[in-house]
This record gives sequence, C-alpha cells and structure tokens, in this order.
Amino acid sequence: MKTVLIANRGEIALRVLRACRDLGLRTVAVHSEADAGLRHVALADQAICIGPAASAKSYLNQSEILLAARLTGADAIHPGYGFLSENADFAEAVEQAGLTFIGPSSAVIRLMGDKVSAKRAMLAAGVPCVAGFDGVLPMDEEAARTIAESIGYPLIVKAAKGGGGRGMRIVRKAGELASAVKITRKEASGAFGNSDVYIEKFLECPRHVEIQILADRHGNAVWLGERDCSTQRYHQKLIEEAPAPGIDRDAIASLGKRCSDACVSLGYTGAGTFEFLYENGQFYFIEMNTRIQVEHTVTELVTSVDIVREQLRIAAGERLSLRQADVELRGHAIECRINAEDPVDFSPSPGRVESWIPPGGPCIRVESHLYSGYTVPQHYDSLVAKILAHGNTRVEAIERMKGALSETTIIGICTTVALHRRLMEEPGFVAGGMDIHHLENWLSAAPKS
Amino acid sequence: MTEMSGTIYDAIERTVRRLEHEQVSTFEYQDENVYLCLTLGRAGAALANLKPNSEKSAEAVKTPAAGIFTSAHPVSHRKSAVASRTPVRAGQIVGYLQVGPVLRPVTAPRDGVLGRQLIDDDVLVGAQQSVFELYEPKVG
Repeated sequence: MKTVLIANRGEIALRVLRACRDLGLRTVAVHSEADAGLRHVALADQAICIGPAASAKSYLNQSEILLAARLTGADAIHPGYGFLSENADFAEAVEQAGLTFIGPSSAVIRLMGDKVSAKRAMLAAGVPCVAGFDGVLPMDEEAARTIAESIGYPLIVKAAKGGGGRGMRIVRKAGELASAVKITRKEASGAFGNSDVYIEKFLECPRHVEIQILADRHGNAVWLGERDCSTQRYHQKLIEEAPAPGIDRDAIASLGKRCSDACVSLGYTGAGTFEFLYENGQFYFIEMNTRIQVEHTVTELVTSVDIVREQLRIAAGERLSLRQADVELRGHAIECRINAEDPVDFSPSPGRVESWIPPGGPCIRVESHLYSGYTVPQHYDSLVAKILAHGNTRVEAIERMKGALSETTIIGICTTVALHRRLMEEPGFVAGGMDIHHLENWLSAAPKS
Repeated sequence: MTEMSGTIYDAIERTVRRLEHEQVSTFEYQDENVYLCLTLGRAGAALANLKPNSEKSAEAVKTPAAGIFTSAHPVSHRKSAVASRTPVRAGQIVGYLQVGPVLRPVTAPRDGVLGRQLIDDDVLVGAQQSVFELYEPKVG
C-alpha cells in the first residue's frame, strides 16, 4: 500500500491525510466543485475534482471515485465516515478493482448493515442484545401482533437496513402496532430501499455507551475502552466522553472482551464500534458501525492509540501494534462537536468564516478543517470542528473544556460553541451519567438564550 | 462500390434520423478502419458567419469528469477535434477524456468560437476543469 485515496471531506479527510503522512503514504484528495478550498485538498500529494457539489454526484459517486483511484494510481481507499463508508456494494467494487478498502470486508459490512442479521451474529457471539424477535417482522398483522405480545409493550419498530436513528417508531400499546409498522415500512422503503422491519423491547431512559475495537487480519483484536455518547439531540451526538461515568469497570471489561471476541469470530478487520444502550446496569447491543467514528478522538486521548494509523496499518496487512494488556485508560476526555448551526434552533449556518481562532493549551486537541476565509458550503454535514479536552479527572477535563470554549473564536457563521459553554455548566451534565433524553429535555425547558 | 457507398450513406441517413428522433446530439462509431462522428446542431445557425466576439470575456469549455485530456481522438493522428478560433455548436465534441479503454467526449456547452486550449494534451484533469476558452459568437 503506497497511495491512499481519501474519499471524504472536512475534518476527517484532514485527519486521515495526517495519519497517512505519518506513515509515509502518498495521498490523493478527491473533492467536489464546492470543496476545492478544503485544507486537505491543499495538503494532499495530488487532488482531483470528481464532480459537482451535490454528494450524489461526487462523494457518493462510486464510479467516479474508482475512476479517480485508477487515474491517480491509488492502491487503497479510505472512506472516512458517512458517505460510502458503510456501503457494502462500494467496498465490494473496491475489492473487485483490486484495491484495498480501508475497513472490514464487504461481506462483513453487509452482514452488520442488516440490523436483523447483525443482531443474530451478536447473539451467537454472546454479545447482549435488547429482548425482541430474532428476525424480520412478518407481513401478516396477526402474526406480528402475537410476536409483539410475546415481547411485551412498550416496544420499538425499526428498519432492518436503518441506522443513525432513522426509521424507528415507538409502540406503547397493541392498538398502535399495525399503524407504526406500516409507517416504518414506508419510511424504510424510501430511506433505505428495503421495507423490512423488526421489533424489540423499547428502553425508556437508557444511556448510549459504545465500545471501540481494532482487529487485524491475523486473528488479533483489542477493545480500547468505552465512550459515553448520551448527550444527543434527535439521535445526533453533541458531546462524547470517555470513560463512561459511574459504570462498573468490570462490567465494561466483560463487555469489551465479548466485543473483541466477536470481531475474531466474525473475521472483522479494521476499526469498528459496537453501540449499546445501557439501562439498569445492563448493556443492550443496538448496532455496529463498521468504520471510523467522529468521536474516535476521545478514545485516542485516553488510550494514546492513534486509531486511524492502526486502520492504515491493518489495511496494509500488518499486525496490531498493541495487545490488550497494553491498553491502559488514562484520565478522562471530553469532545464537543462544533457544528455550523444556530445554537438555539439548530438551523444550518453555512457561509464565509471571517475569523477562526482555535483554542490551545495543555491537554486541548482541536480537529478542524476551518481557516479564516474558508466558506462552509451548504451542501454537507454541519460539523466544522471537534474540540477535545483531557484531564486526570472528569472535573479537570470539564474545567479545561470550559477554558477552551471560552477562547474559541469563530466569526462569520453561527456555531454550537455557545451551547457547549452552557452545557459545561449544566448540573445534569456536570453530575454525569445522564440518559439520551437529557439534552432534549433540558433544551425544551431552558431559556432560549 | 457505388452500391456499397449508397449503403453507407443510407445507413448514415438512417442514423441521423434516429438521432434526431431520440434527441441525441452526438454519435461516434469506430472500427479498425473507420471513425465516424455525427454531431447534430440546431437548424438555421449560420456557423460559417460566426466570429469570436473579442469584446466579451471568454467563458470556458469544462470537463464533465476526471480523465486524461486530449484535444484529438486517438485514431485521428493527433489532429485536434476542433481547431482554435473555429466556430462550434452546443454539444459539439471539442476534446476527449481517456480513462483506460474508455473515451468520454468533452463538448461545447453552447454555440461559440473556440479560443485557446488551456490544458496540454495527455494531462490528468479533474471534473469541471477549464480546457478551452469559449467566446460568444459575433454574427456578421
């Protein structure tokens, strides 16, 4: 592996480029017309425009990306997150083109992309799952009702091919089931091209806890601790931290071991994340992300492991550079996602960044593609920066984050910086261990300022 | 020979009618001995009378995708598809993008007069890269 084509944009493209550079790998940046001014495009060894601003014609255009790889002599493709990162067909096309897809095999992506088959695989591997029906819900209404009653209400109807919080309906009583199934099937068909749904027990007030893993092609896998991503708004994470406050370390260790064992049994390779709901002391698997995640940086701060570098090494056929015994969690890390959004109504705020002064100081890390004069395009995800703080304790990390946010300057666009400043003072967040509904409840009750 | 030629002309005529019916602007055919390119323009445009309007700034012909740019078709013995300062019609092929065995046309976005070639032949280009100046036609 000598040349890596980075099939993504924004901060993750820059993150991947830096890891490639550290390993002496040549980089190719592919970009849309709207993204010619991106920082990683300027830094890459070679850059090539692959199409118009619309994602469907650029970052989601499989044939143009493969063509760019061929034209530039790239022998590997890093998909980043989002876009084509969990598209099994794209991973397969990359494999068939004789290139290296930096991630797991297309077969494993396909297996884990179907929530029903993923759940079956996890149950077989001994990973705890939410109580529910182990299969696709039958079309017959009476059969579906019988299955629902065997699970018990409340329950949740989910799209088999769904993810990221889309394609879900809560059902609190039997009379709501048929309509919820019908609507979810319709949504699933439109959003994911497949109307299969499944049902499982609905957890009222869970936390979102996830396990980061790395696995190589030689049968080695490690888990790198957990992250608590419960500070969410409509299933979109805003703050992540590691470790998860107040959860028994032995329970986490047991879960982590089952996840890394599952990777070995599945033949999983690369970086990945097992996502769980946590309620009443129990973990319940919800889905696996077969890619690098936005919040991988939190884990990097507490483990000192460069996860993207490991991804690249694994893709090149090398063995993991660490064993489980080498993984040691140190201190506490918090990440705030800075989005180009109005901090009150969360509407997108594209535009020209007149001034960007990132924070600094001990134990502060900033991942961003911003620079003064950069124009945030309207076409893509609103994430423009990640600000991370590390401390020996959670309290110390929060104090450092407060300082970092206080000196962060972004002029020209609206961002969520002001919201994060308030959240760092919010009693529920400061106490730690809040559930996934806490932020929405706080936002609806808090004064709009 | 006459009969053979007639057959070819008939075939071309049928092809042109088909292209018009299907509203296809460009047709290319190539075998070992023959290269045929049919470009259909709008009726009535007096191309011979078009000249560059140097009073107006040049626009550009841009590439539709990434590829190795060449102004000449591979079987044309390096003869450019269209020479500089030549009138062109919307949709007319002015160059090509080569990706392995695949050849993609680069076409004029509108009627005009082709200006300078901005990219050398056999250079890798990205999508939407300017490869020719294109001037507005000046009738007269």
